[in-house]
Amino acid sequence: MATPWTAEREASGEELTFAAAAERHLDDVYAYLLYLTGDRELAGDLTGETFERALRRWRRFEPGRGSARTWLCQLARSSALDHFRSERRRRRREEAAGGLEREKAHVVFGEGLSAELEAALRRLSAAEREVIALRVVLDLEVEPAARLLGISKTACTTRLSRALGKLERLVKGDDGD
Amino acid sequence: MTDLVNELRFARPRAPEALRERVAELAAQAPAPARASRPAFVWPRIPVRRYVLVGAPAVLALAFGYAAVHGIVSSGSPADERAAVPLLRSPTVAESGRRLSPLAQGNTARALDKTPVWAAPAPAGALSSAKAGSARAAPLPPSNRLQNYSASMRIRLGGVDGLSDATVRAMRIARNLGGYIVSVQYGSGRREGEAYVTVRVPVQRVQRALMRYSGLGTIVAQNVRIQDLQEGVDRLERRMDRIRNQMARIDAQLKNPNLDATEREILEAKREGLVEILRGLGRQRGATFRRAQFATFSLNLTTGAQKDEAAPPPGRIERMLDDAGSVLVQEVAWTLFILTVAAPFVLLLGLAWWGARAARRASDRRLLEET
Repeated sequence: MATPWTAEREASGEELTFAAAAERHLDDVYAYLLYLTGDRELAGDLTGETFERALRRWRRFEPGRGSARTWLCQLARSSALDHFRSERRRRRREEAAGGLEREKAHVVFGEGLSAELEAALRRLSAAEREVIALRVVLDLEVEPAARLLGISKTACTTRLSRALGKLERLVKGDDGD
Repeated sequence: MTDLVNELRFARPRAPEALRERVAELAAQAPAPARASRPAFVWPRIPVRRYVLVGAPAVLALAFGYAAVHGIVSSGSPADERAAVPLLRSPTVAESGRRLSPLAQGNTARALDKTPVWAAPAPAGALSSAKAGSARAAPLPPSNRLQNYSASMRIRLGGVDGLSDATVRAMRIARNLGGYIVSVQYGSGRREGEAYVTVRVPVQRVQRALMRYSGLGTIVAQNVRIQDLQEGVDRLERRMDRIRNQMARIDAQLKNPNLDATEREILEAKREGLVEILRGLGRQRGATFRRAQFATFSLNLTTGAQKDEAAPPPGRIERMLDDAGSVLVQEVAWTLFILTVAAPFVLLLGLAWWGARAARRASDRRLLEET
């Protein structure tokens, strides 16, 4: 059975360099971060940060253990979580000081998405959007997705099922709206 | 829901051009590939369960293998080398014990050793030669030093019927040699019987005693112990000389006519004390001499059959199994020791690491759910 690395190598017909991995998976990482953060500008910044990290750690990447896409998404998730933590601390400081909350920019999760779907996606939590991004948008297998999320395969499947169910209800307007 | 999924997939967002350029600039900074070719082998991610299922039998196989190899290697020496070292054969010694050959004089030096000397058991069926040989093989007490000589013999008889006669003969031998009986214990059943006879025989008659007792039956085991008493007696006599010298000095002082009554009284009391001490030491010396005059023989007369004979030396396979078994026991003991000492720490560390990891993941999940 071919490993993801082999498949990538066969597909590209060349050795996987950092440049090749970056070009091939830039959209995947960006899409994942967009769904995770719900903010285009932030997703862009975090994507850049992710690839900077990836460049520094490229020697540690072992193709036999998993695909470059999964590895990059792991780095992206780590960057996003660091950002969320620092944002939470900043918000708490601002709330304590009586500061105003920032307005969230209008997000476009994907060109061609219906307005109802866009609105429903905005109403999901980052955790729910994350699993949809990994399993549906990026079409990752359940095992690498579960490993990336740090949960079991069963939990990953359950989480996806709930997220899609909630999304469907929001789209249909059955969620009390 | 399928429509939803398809819509999400087809409308996948693309990175903006500015970001694409930025990442391309980064990629341009990347050094030449460190790995020119795919590594020959990458350690696969193996679940812990599989490690345990494969590792545990491997460790057991290793432990058994090492024990077996150790057993084979250490059992390589022939059985003969492991037999008891045969005793020095003493030459024929006159009854008075005065004429000693150089070999017997060597025995004298060996006799100073207090450790017991074992004789090899007599092979079954070689009665007469065993009796004579065993008697000659046992070391004899030298005549120029005081020694405490004791011997124990386990003698197998033909049957229960002969046990009573043999016991009586053993007692008679002691008396005929000028010795005396210390104790007798006798017990017999329908098929088996045992008798324990302890006698004391003049040390000059040890050789004859050994010969005669050997004639009672087949000697199955024999143990001789020689303890030197001469040193103790010499120490006693030196002390006694010192006390006599002190007494002589006191006597000389007492002869002085100018001594006053008080001083005379003190000196006389002192002399009395020394006399008492001298008497006590004399008694000790006498007891030691008496002890050295007689040798003690402890005889175990038995009618037991095969079980009474000494077991044949183990064969190579038995030795191999024995050695391998002892190595396995050591391995288990060490493993248990290491596990017992290290296990709590390993467990605590593992729990701490797992707890920290679980807490971190829970925190991340809450963070994402709140966002």
